[in-house]
Amino acid sequence: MGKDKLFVNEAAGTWSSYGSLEQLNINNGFFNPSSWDNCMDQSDPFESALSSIVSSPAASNAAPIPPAAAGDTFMIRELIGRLGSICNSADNSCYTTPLSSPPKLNLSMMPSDPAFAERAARLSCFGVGVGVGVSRVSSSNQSVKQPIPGSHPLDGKTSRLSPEEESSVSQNDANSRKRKSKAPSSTNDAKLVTENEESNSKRSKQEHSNGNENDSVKANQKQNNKDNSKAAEPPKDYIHVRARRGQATDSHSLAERVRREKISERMKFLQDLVPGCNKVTGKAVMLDEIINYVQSLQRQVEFLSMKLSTVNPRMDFNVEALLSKEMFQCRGALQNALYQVESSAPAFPLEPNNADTQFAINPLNAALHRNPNMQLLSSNNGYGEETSPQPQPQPQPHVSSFWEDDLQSLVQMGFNQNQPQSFHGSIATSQMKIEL
Amino acid sequence: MSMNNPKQRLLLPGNPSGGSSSCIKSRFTRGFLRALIKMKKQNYNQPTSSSSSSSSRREVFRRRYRRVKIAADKSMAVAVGSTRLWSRAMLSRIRHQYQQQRWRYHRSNFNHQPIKVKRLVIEKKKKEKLRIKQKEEGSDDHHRRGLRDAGELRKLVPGGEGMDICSLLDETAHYIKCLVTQVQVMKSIDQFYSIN
Repeated sequence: MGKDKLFVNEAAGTWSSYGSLEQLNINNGFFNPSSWDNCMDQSDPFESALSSIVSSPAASNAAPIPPAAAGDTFMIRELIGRLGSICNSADNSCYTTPLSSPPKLNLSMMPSDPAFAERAARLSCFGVGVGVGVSRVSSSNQSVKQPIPGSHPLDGKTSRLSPEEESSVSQNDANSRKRKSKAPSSTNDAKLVTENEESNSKRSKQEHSNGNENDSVKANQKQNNKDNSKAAEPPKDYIHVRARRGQATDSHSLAERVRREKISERMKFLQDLVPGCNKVTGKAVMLDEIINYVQSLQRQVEFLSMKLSTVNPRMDFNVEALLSKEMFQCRGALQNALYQVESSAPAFPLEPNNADTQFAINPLNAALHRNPNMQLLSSNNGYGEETSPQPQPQPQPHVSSFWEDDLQSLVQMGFNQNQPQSFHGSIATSQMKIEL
Repeated sequence: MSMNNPKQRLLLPGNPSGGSSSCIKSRFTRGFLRALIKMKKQNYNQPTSSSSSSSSRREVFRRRYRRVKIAADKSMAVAVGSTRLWSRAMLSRIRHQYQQQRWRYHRSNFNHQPIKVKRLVIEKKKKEKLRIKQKEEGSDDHHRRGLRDAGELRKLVPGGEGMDICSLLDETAHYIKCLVTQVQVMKSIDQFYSIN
């Protein structure tokens, strides 16, 4: 929802190059309720930033608040203590920073413009409807008061100036949003906000030196900036995508773009995983390749399980009768044959309870460990295929980690004796040495 | 922020030298071997049924094959754990099959009434629903050229029918990795057995 509003505002900001202040005001009024939560989140940084701003350019000017506005803000403060004060300070700052023009203070007190009254009524409607956002909207309302009567005498100028001003506003808005979308933490946010505010104040100073006639417009712009910088605080869970030039900005197509990016990211990941998929371009072909690979793997599993099921009965004779001893001996034989290590058969006095699994696992683990080596020797490394798509990775670290894992698991499984483990370890190291 | 999570999820099983893959491997090996040994014991307990005729032997062989296959799948899924959608789907599928089998066995032993009709109807309904859903998604995907065949992938990856395409691809990546591991382990076991 907030996202939608963001987009709406962005669209309005970028596309409305005709500069009617009314629309902007409405935008603000429309915008503020959604941004209220964000303001809540960012209360501390804002306070600091605003206080710094207020103190730096116009500390003395902050005092003379017009009575009506003061009354309003007082009420607001009463209503919503801290945030009200923030709004107040914001108000003051935008009063005071570009100012030194006395008419504004007066003008804020006399809403003589009928059109303005209409607008104010509309905005206050918004404010009432929103409830919590009352103070915010009303403060923006007040700030709206300033520029419009001020610009009333200079109507032609404002209408002439407003388009570029608005475009700059939208640009600034976009920038701030960009920055904020990148900012990961609240401290960064605070920094950025201060930066933004400072840049605003700088700009206002600069323009103030240019001439007083644009003051009202600038005040408006500044207020807009402020509003937008507050409003553009994104809720943290959203993924922010910036529409490039010529791309659609409505929420559906943005979401669609996000989705497509996600898909392509995963596709890239899969491309690394599936062999022979690197050269392929185009998602359809890649998907075919992936499907083929998965199918072939599944078929391989089926084939292997078939093979194992045929192997089983033969193993019944070997294993089932004398499972523990047979397995163990064959394991010892295997290792003897392979590594010419002295048989350690008597060094494995095992409990009959868990002899079952352990015996089964030990020789087979040995076989597993043996196999990579054999595969390495025969340059038919299935392990390389597993580890990474590159044809010749170094299997040694993998093997060693595997060894460690198995050793740990053996320890956990209740090998109480140290001798077998050390034996294992020595085999592992010797094996590694042989390999190296 | 939320972009990071699936990425991490993607990359965590992705690193080949890290602990997770080899951990899954050893867990799978252990579980599968345990299942095989259990199976052998059971076969040893009832060996005479296989030696009557060729058809029954084939039947026995098929049953054995199925059991090994299920054991492999199940131990793989258990080794992966319940963090993945596909493993959960696989486990539930296996459980369902097991229940069905048991139920069928039970029924064939005691009464011969075809009560199966009701269940069949329900399954048909489910399948129809699924088909409709797939059709919708397919027509949705139809606009995006290239991902039209995702339906085929859905069939291959367990539990893939209910996923959106992003998580489907995610799960596919993990599933492929696990399948590769499974194939390796089974190969080495087979090699070990064939040597002896």
